[in-house]
Amino acid sequence: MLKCEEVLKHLYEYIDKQLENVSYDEIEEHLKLCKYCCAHYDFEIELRKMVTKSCFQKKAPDILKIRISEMLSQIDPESQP
Amino acid sequence: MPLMDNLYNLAMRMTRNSGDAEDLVQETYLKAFRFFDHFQEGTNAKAWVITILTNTFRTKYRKTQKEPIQVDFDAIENFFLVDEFKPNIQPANKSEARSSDTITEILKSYVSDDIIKALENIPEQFRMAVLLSDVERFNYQEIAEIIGASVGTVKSRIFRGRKLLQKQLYEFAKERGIVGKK
Repeated sequence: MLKCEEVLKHLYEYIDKQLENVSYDEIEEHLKLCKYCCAHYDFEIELRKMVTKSCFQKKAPDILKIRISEMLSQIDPESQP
Repeated sequence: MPLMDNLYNLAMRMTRNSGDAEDLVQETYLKAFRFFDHFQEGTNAKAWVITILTNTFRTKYRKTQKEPIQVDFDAIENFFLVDEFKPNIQPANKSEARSSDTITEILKSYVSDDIIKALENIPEQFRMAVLLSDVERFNYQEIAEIIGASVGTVKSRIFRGRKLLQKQLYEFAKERGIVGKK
Protein backbone atom coordinates (compact mmCIF):
# COMPACT_ATOMS: atom_id res chain seq x y z
CA MET A 1 0.00 0.00 0.00
CA LEU A 2 1.09 3.57 -0.63
CA LYS A 3 2.56 5.53 2.25
CA CYS A 4 0.77 8.62 3.59
CA GLU A 5 3.48 10.90 2.22
CA GLU A 6 2.97 9.49 -1.26
CA VAL A 7 -0.79 9.89 -1.05
CA LEU A 8 -0.48 13.49 0.13
CA LYS A 9 2.04 14.17 -2.62
CA HIS A 10 -0.43 13.03 -5.28
CA LEU A 11 -3.58 14.30 -3.54
CA TYR A 12 -4.07 17.38 -5.71
CA GLU A 13 -3.62 15.36 -8.91
CA TYR A 14 -6.14 12.88 -7.56
CA ILE A 15 -8.65 15.62 -6.69
CA ASP A 16 -8.14 17.25 -10.10
CA LYS A 17 -8.61 13.84 -11.79
CA GLN A 18 -5.22 14.23 -13.45
CA LEU A 19 -3.23 11.47 -11.72
CA GLU A 20 0.13 10.46 -13.12
CA ASN A 21 2.53 7.74 -11.96
CA VAL A 22 0.13 6.21 -9.41
CA SER A 23 -3.28 4.68 -10.03
CA TYR A 24 -6.67 5.86 -8.77
CA ASP A 25 -7.18 2.44 -7.17
CA GLU A 26 -3.98 2.79 -5.15
CA ILE A 27 -5.04 6.17 -3.77
CA GLU A 28 -8.59 5.03 -3.10
CA GLU A 29 -7.44 1.89 -1.32
CA HIS A 30 -5.30 4.02 0.97
CA LEU A 31 -8.03 6.61 1.59
CA LYS A 32 -10.47 3.90 2.62
CA LEU A 33 -8.13 2.68 5.32
CA CYS A 34 -6.38 5.85 6.47
CA LYS A 35 -8.32 8.43 8.47
CA TYR A 36 -5.43 10.84 8.42
CA CYS A 37 -5.23 11.08 4.63
CA CYS A 38 -9.00 10.91 4.33
CA ALA A 39 -9.25 14.01 6.52
CA HIS A 40 -6.81 15.77 4.23
CA TYR A 41 -8.87 14.73 1.23
CA ASP A 42 -12.15 15.92 2.79
CA PHE A 43 -10.58 19.18 3.85
CA GLU A 44 -9.20 19.95 0.40
CA ILE A 45 -12.54 19.16 -1.23
CA GLU A 46 -14.49 21.37 1.19
CA LEU A 47 -12.00 24.22 0.92
CA ARG A 48 -12.12 24.01 -2.87
CA LYS A 49 -15.91 24.25 -2.74
CA MET A 50 -15.58 27.38 -0.58
CA VAL A 51 -13.14 28.93 -3.05
CA THR A 52 -15.53 28.25 -5.95
CA LYS A 53 -18.49 29.66 -4.05
CA SER A 54 -16.66 32.73 -2.77
CA CYS A 55 -15.58 33.65 -6.29
CA PHE A 56 -19.10 33.49 -7.70
CA GLN A 57 -20.67 35.78 -5.17
CA LYS A 58 -21.20 38.73 -7.44
CA LYS A 59 -22.93 39.21 -10.71
CA ALA A 60 -21.50 41.62 -13.24
CA PRO A 61 -23.10 45.06 -12.68
CA ASP A 62 -25.96 45.92 -15.06
CA ILE A 63 -24.30 49.20 -15.94
CA LEU A 64 -21.31 47.26 -17.29
CA LYS A 65 -23.55 45.05 -19.41
CA ILE A 66 -25.22 48.15 -20.86
CA ARG A 67 -21.86 49.83 -21.49
CA ILE A 68 -20.53 46.79 -23.36
CA SER A 69 -23.73 46.30 -25.41
CA GLU A 70 -23.64 49.94 -26.49
CA MET A 71 -19.96 49.74 -27.31
CA LEU A 72 -20.38 46.61 -29.42
CA SER A 73 -23.41 48.01 -31.26
CA GLN A 74 -21.42 51.10 -32.21
CA ILE A 75 -18.74 49.11 -33.97
CA ASP A 76 -19.22 49.53 -37.69
CA PRO A 77 -20.34 46.18 -39.08
CA GLU A 78 -18.69 47.08 -42.42
CA SER A 79 -15.30 47.04 -40.75
CA GLN A 80 -15.85 43.48 -39.55
CA PRO A 81 -14.37 40.65 -41.58
CA MET B 1 -24.11 38.20 -22.67
CA PRO B 2 -22.55 34.80 -22.12
CA LEU B 3 -19.79 34.33 -19.54
CA MET B 4 -20.16 37.90 -18.28
CA ASP B 5 -20.37 36.88 -14.61
CA ASN B 6 -17.41 34.49 -14.94
CA LEU B 7 -15.30 37.16 -16.59
CA TYR B 8 -16.30 39.83 -14.10
CA ASN B 9 -15.50 37.69 -11.06
CA LEU B 10 -12.19 36.59 -12.54
CA ALA B 11 -11.33 40.20 -13.39
CA MET B 12 -12.26 41.29 -9.85
CA ARG B 13 -9.94 38.71 -8.31
CA MET B 14 -7.07 39.60 -10.63
CA THR B 15 -7.27 43.42 -10.58
CA ARG B 16 -8.58 43.55 -6.99
CA ASN B 17 -10.77 46.58 -7.67
CA SER B 18 -14.08 47.06 -9.45
CA GLY B 19 -13.01 49.95 -11.72
CA ASP B 20 -10.14 48.04 -13.32
CA ALA B 21 -12.23 44.84 -13.37
CA GLU B 22 -14.97 46.56 -15.38
CA ASP B 23 -12.43 48.01 -17.83
CA LEU B 24 -10.75 44.62 -18.20
CA VAL B 25 -14.04 42.88 -18.97
CA GLN B 26 -15.02 45.59 -21.43
CA GLU B 27 -11.70 45.34 -23.24
CA THR B 28 -11.99 41.54 -23.32
CA TYR B 29 -15.41 41.70 -24.99
CA LEU B 30 -14.20 44.27 -27.48
CA LYS B 31 -11.20 42.12 -28.46
CA ALA B 32 -13.30 38.96 -28.63
CA PHE B 33 -15.72 40.77 -30.91
CA ARG B 34 -13.00 42.19 -33.15
CA PHE B 35 -11.01 39.00 -33.39
CA PHE B 36 -13.91 36.62 -33.62
CA ASP B 37 -12.67 35.37 -36.99
CA HIS B 38 -9.65 33.96 -35.13
CA PHE B 39 -11.87 31.75 -33.03
CA GLN B 40 -11.86 28.19 -34.29
CA GLU B 41 -15.31 26.74 -34.34
CA GLY B 42 -15.67 23.57 -32.34
CA THR B 43 -13.01 24.64 -29.82
CA ASN B 44 -13.73 25.84 -26.29
CA ALA B 45 -15.24 29.35 -26.50
CA LYS B 46 -14.94 29.93 -22.76
CA ALA B 47 -11.23 29.06 -22.81
CA TRP B 48 -10.75 31.35 -25.81
CA VAL B 49 -12.38 34.36 -24.13
CA ILE B 50 -10.57 33.75 -20.85
CA THR B 51 -7.28 33.59 -22.76
CA ILE B 52 -8.03 37.08 -24.08
CA LEU B 53 -8.80 38.31 -20.57
CA THR B 54 -5.63 36.74 -19.18
CA ASN B 55 -3.40 38.26 -21.87
CA THR B 56 -5.04 41.65 -21.51
CA PHE B 57 -4.57 41.56 -17.78
CA ARG B 58 -0.92 40.63 -18.13
CA THR B 59 -0.04 43.32 -20.64
CA LYS B 60 -2.13 46.09 -19.19
CA TYR B 61 -2.61 45.70 -15.48
CA ARG B 62 0.15 43.56 -14.09
CA LYS B 63 2.84 46.22 -14.32
CA THR B 64 0.76 48.77 -12.50
CA GLN B 65 0.03 46.51 -9.54
CA LYS B 66 2.15 46.24 -6.50
CA GLU B 67 2.71 42.58 -5.86
CA PRO B 68 1.96 41.32 -2.38
CA ILE B 69 4.22 39.23 -0.11
CA GLN B 70 7.23 37.39 -1.37
CA VAL B 71 7.03 33.67 -0.77
CA ASP B 72 9.30 31.07 0.71
CA PHE B 73 8.41 27.93 -1.22
CA ASP B 74 10.34 25.53 0.98
CA ALA B 75 8.23 26.65 3.90
CA ILE B 76 4.92 25.94 2.18
CA GLU B 77 5.69 22.71 0.36
CA ASN B 78 4.57 20.62 3.33
CA PHE B 79 2.09 23.02 4.82
CA PHE B 80 -1.34 21.56 5.52
CA LEU B 81 -3.86 23.92 7.08
CA VAL B 82 -5.89 20.99 8.38
CA ASP B 83 -2.91 19.86 10.48
CA GLU B 84 -2.38 23.27 12.04
CA PHE B 85 -5.59 23.15 14.01
CA LYS B 86 -4.16 20.31 16.05
CA PRO B 87 -0.44 20.34 15.44
CA ASN B 88 0.37 17.12 17.24
CA ILE B 89 -1.40 14.93 14.71
CA GLN B 90 1.10 12.95 12.69
CA PRO B 91 0.56 10.15 10.19
CA ALA B 92 1.54 7.64 12.87
CA ASN B 93 -1.19 8.96 15.11
CA LYS B 94 -4.14 8.15 12.92
CA SER B 95 -6.65 7.50 15.67
CA GLU B 96 -6.60 11.22 16.39
CA ALA B 97 -7.33 12.17 12.82
CA ARG B 98 -10.21 14.54 12.61
CA SER B 99 -13.70 13.62 11.60
CA SER B 100 -15.70 15.42 8.95
CA ASP B 101 -17.43 17.36 11.76
CA THR B 102 -14.10 18.83 12.81
CA ILE B 103 -13.31 19.79 9.24
CA THR B 104 -16.64 21.58 8.96
CA GLU B 105 -15.84 23.34 12.25
CA ILE B 106 -12.44 24.49 10.96
CA LEU B 107 -13.88 25.85 7.75
CA LYS B 108 -16.71 27.54 9.62
CA SER B 109 -14.14 29.93 11.05
CA TYR B 110 -13.84 31.44 7.57
CA VAL B 111 -16.35 33.45 5.56
CA SER B 112 -16.30 34.15 1.81
CA ASP B 113 -14.55 37.47 2.32
CA ASP B 114 -11.68 35.68 4.10
CA ILE B 115 -11.22 33.35 1.15
CA ILE B 116 -11.24 36.29 -1.25
CA LYS B 117 -8.82 38.29 0.86
CA ALA B 118 -6.50 35.28 1.13
CA LEU B 119 -6.64 34.71 -2.62
CA GLU B 120 -5.93 38.35 -3.35
CA ASN B 121 -2.88 38.23 -1.10
CA ILE B 122 -1.13 35.54 -3.12
CA PRO B 123 1.08 36.48 -6.09
CA GLU B 124 -0.69 36.95 -9.38
CA GLN B 125 0.65 33.95 -11.33
CA PHE B 126 -0.36 31.54 -8.56
CA ARG B 127 -3.70 33.23 -8.03
CA MET B 128 -4.51 32.96 -11.74
CA ALA B 129 -3.65 29.24 -11.79
CA VAL B 130 -5.83 28.52 -8.74
CA LEU B 131 -8.76 30.50 -10.15
CA LEU B 132 -8.62 28.78 -13.53
CA SER B 133 -8.57 25.40 -11.81
CA ASP B 134 -10.74 25.75 -8.70
CA VAL B 135 -13.24 28.30 -9.99
CA GLU B 136 -13.36 27.90 -13.76
CA ARG B 137 -12.59 24.17 -13.54
CA PHE B 138 -10.24 23.91 -16.50
CA ASN B 139 -7.87 20.93 -16.58
CA TYR B 140 -4.07 21.29 -16.52
CA GLN B 141 -3.75 21.11 -20.32
CA GLU B 142 -6.40 23.78 -20.87
CA ILE B 143 -4.80 26.08 -18.30
CA ALA B 144 -1.41 25.53 -19.94
CA GLU B 145 -2.87 26.73 -23.24
CA ILE B 146 -4.63 29.71 -21.65
CA ILE B 147 -1.59 31.06 -19.84
CA GLY B 148 0.98 29.85 -22.38
CA ALA B 149 3.04 27.68 -20.05
CA SER B 150 3.90 23.99 -19.79
CA VAL B 151 1.66 21.54 -17.95
CA GLY B 152 4.46 21.07 -15.40
CA THR B 153 4.54 24.80 -14.67
CA VAL B 154 0.75 24.90 -14.40
CA LYS B 155 0.69 22.04 -11.90
CA SER B 156 3.39 23.64 -9.82
CA ARG B 157 1.55 26.98 -9.77
CA ILE B 158 -1.79 25.43 -8.84
CA PHE B 159 -0.29 23.31 -6.05
CA ARG B 160 1.79 26.16 -4.64
CA GLY B 161 -1.10 28.57 -5.05
CA ARG B 162 -3.36 26.33 -2.97
CA LYS B 163 -0.68 26.02 -0.30
CA LEU B 164 -0.20 29.79 -0.27
CA LEU B 165 -3.94 30.21 0.13
CA GLN B 166 -3.96 27.84 3.12
CA LYS B 167 -1.00 29.66 4.63
CA GLN B 168 -2.87 32.95 4.35
CA LEU B 169 -5.95 31.43 5.97
CA TYR B 170 -3.71 30.14 8.73
CA GLU B 171 -2.36 33.65 9.30
CA PHE B 172 -5.94 34.93 9.65
CA ALA B 173 -6.69 32.21 12.20
CA LYS B 174 -3.54 33.15 14.10
CA GLU B 175 -4.46 36.85 14.12
CA ARG B 176 -7.85 35.94 15.53
CA GLY B 177 -6.37 33.69 18.16
CA ILE B 178 -8.10 30.59 16.81
CA VAL B 179 -4.79 28.75 16.54
CA GLY B 180 -1.73 29.20 18.70
CA LYS B 181 1.33 31.15 17.67
CA LYS B 182 4.13 29.00 16.31
